[in-house]
Amino acid sequence: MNTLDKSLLVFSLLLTVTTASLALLGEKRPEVYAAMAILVYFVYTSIDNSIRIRAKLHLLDLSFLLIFSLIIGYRIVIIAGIL
Amino acid sequence: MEHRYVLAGSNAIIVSAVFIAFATLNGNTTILGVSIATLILGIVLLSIGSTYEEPIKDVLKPYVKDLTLFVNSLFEDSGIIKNLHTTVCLQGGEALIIFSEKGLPCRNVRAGLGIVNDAAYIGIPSKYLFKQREAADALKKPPDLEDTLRFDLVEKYSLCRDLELSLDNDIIRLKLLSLTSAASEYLTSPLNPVKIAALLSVAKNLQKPIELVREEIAGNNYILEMRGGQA
Repeated sequence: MNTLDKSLLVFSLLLTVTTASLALLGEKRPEVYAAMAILVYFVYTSIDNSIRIRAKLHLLDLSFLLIFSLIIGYRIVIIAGIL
Repeated sequence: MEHRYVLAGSNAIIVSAVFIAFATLNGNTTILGVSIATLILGIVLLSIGSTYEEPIKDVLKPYVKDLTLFVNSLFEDSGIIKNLHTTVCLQGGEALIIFSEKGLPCRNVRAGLGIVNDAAYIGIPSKYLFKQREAADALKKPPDLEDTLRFDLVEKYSLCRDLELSLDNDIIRLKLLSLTSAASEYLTSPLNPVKIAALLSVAKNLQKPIELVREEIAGNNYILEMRGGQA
């Protein structure tokens, strides 16, 4: 198993633990799962550089950042009572 | 592109899409959330697989091929291509890779072209590749030779998927299992970097000269038999 295989395995495990924890806590909002998965992606790929030196993830980063911002924006709007 | 990750990512996307449709139709938001997380994992794997590239491979591959042309002509001119012996000698903090007509004692050879005991040889010094591991990995040095070789050849250089090491009297038998496609390209070259990296790694870890006795390409595996060289 090479370095990238290990990094992706750790990332998958982190994502599984995060998602399972949310499900066990009874979280019903789908966007929370998406936001947490994106957060795990950014945190993990920032810490473990072996993924980024082998793959070009700029487009994926931009897309995830946009989706994450929309989710946070939507939640702020809900809390502020605008919607 | 790395097909394994593309395949894994595509599978995750397809499975999650089915569950997203199921959860939407049934109004189950928990399953919908879990499916979205799986979809994100699939997208990440697909992106990594489709944009995967070995670092600076595009520059190094043609450069190694050009160097091989040069070394081939040197081998042909010196006549050692018919009966090629490969030895790694340790000289101070450096290694010297010796290609010769017959096994030569390390004390008589130096970098460059030369003749010892009526045998022509080519000595290629290796300072940077030989020392590369020390600085970065000194803190997590694995305990034994097989683990160290696995770290170097499998995890760091990605030459193969796994390896087996066995000792038979004074013969060290190293079997590189499932060579990566990039490594397979160079096996038939006299300046075979897979062979060089393996010999250097063994010599460095044992801290003694190493001589290649036999090499064999068995399907997608590469077998190297080596023993301690003459000091």
